[in-house]
Amino acid sequence: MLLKFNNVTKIYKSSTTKALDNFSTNIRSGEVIGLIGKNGSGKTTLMNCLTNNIHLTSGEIFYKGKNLMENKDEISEFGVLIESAFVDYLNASQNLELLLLAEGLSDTKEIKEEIERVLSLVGLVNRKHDYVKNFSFGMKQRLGLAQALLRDKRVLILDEPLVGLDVIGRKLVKDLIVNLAKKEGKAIIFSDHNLNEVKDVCDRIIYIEDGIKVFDDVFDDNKRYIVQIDESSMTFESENTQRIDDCIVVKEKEQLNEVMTKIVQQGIPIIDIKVNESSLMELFKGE
Amino acid sequence: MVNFHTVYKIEWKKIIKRRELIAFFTMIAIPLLYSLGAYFESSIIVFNSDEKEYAGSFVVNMLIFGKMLFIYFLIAALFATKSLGGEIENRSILLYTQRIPNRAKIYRAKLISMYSAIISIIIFYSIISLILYYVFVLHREDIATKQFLRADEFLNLLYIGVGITFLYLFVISFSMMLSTFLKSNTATILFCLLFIIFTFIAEFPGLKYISFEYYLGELIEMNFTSSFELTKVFLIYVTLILVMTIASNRIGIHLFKRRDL
Repeated sequence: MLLKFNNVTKIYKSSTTKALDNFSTNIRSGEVIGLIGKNGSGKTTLMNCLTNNIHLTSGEIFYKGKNLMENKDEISEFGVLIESAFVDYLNASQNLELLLLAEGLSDTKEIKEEIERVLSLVGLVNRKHDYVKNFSFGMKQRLGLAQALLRDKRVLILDEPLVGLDVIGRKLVKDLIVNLAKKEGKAIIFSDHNLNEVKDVCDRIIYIEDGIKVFDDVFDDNKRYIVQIDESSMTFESENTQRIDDCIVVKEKEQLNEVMTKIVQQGIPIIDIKVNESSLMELFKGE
Repeated sequence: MVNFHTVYKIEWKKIIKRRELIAFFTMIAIPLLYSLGAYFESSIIVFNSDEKEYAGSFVVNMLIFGKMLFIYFLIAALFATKSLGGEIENRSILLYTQRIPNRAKIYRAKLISMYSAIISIIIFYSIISLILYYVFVLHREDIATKQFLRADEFLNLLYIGVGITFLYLFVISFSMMLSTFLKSNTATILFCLLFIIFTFIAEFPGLKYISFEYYLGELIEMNFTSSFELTKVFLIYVTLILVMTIASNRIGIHLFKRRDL
């Protein structure tokens, strides 16, 4: 197990409520974890706990079996994007250069190559000499991602990396996340408000509400279309459907069209049509 | 794990691009305007001393002018509060705390780089003042001499120069400590208020002994009858300012290590 959260709890000094309440989970190498939840649910707090930006009230986080709070140097193995922040009076390249120095890199040639590499990954190589204060929000987001990608980290912690990106940018980042996890074996924790964005990329989804983990599982879109028909038409049959009493259960929307066509052709009265969504979808819509 | 020198180098690279540092260089306007005023015999420049000016006294007098114009202490305070508090506010500090988990190292590197910047500026300012003295002021033979230093005043001038430099370092330390728990602008305002209070305290008979401004004021007055008295006042001043600087640094590091970012 690469990362293990053990009953992590955080109560901020200015508050009496738990920003994070007994959070526990395990994360393996090559796994992409999608962290979702509404604003103030505890997603960023969790990421900040992991990166030592805030101190835990109780609980432990283990990285490669070592307690992270007692081995803080290990945190430097994480690539982090939490609220993309920069020294805005420096240009993109200078910002990255300072971070590489902080990573212990001193060879000028190596620094230049690494800057070129990460800026190419996020599509900003032509803007490396532009001052960050002149960057658009989307460009800042890309540069933030470049900061996280410096020096091939084993764990990537990305807080809302898709926010502010256009369609092309979102696709670029999502593809990058999948590649880094599947081809390079990196563990990636990334948060977003949009479940549809997260579910495309993640192996597992963690849903947090008011600091409490309420869902932690592989995402299975259990969406089912249920067509309730008149009891007198119980003989109705169709391929790839499931029959439960007076209901026909269909998984795919395309199948639903076929079934509906058949029902109408056979003149069977329809009592009701319902969509039964997965428990995660229900939770998400409940926001 | 990166060493202290690397963290210092990072902070230095940031500092040299800061606007506050550029603002410090406007200090040069003080000796420049004074020396040009003297050269052109401007009526604005009034020379009251019984004795003629010499190079060393001119340089120290320019440092005293800089001190009297409080604005450079305000810039020093802004320099310090923006360096730490500003980075906490815009979250860019997170980029470094994650890569350099030892927060005390970051804090110390910020301090030392700012100390180096301030000392470099004071040295540069003194050299420029010296050059301006010989280029412009010396033309006024009625107020200036070619003499570089006077033995009887050397110690006093040295103590004033060192005293003012130490005061800038204290301002950096104290303001940066305030910015560990206050917003950078609030920290700067609070520093200004406290500085003004200490300046006023220096005028109160009973309380003046707790104010560093009193001792520095005594050194600047140059009314000592013996070098023993002069050194005694200087040592009290230096002890007081060092204790406050070290205390500010310790408290600042402690607060920065403990706070949530």
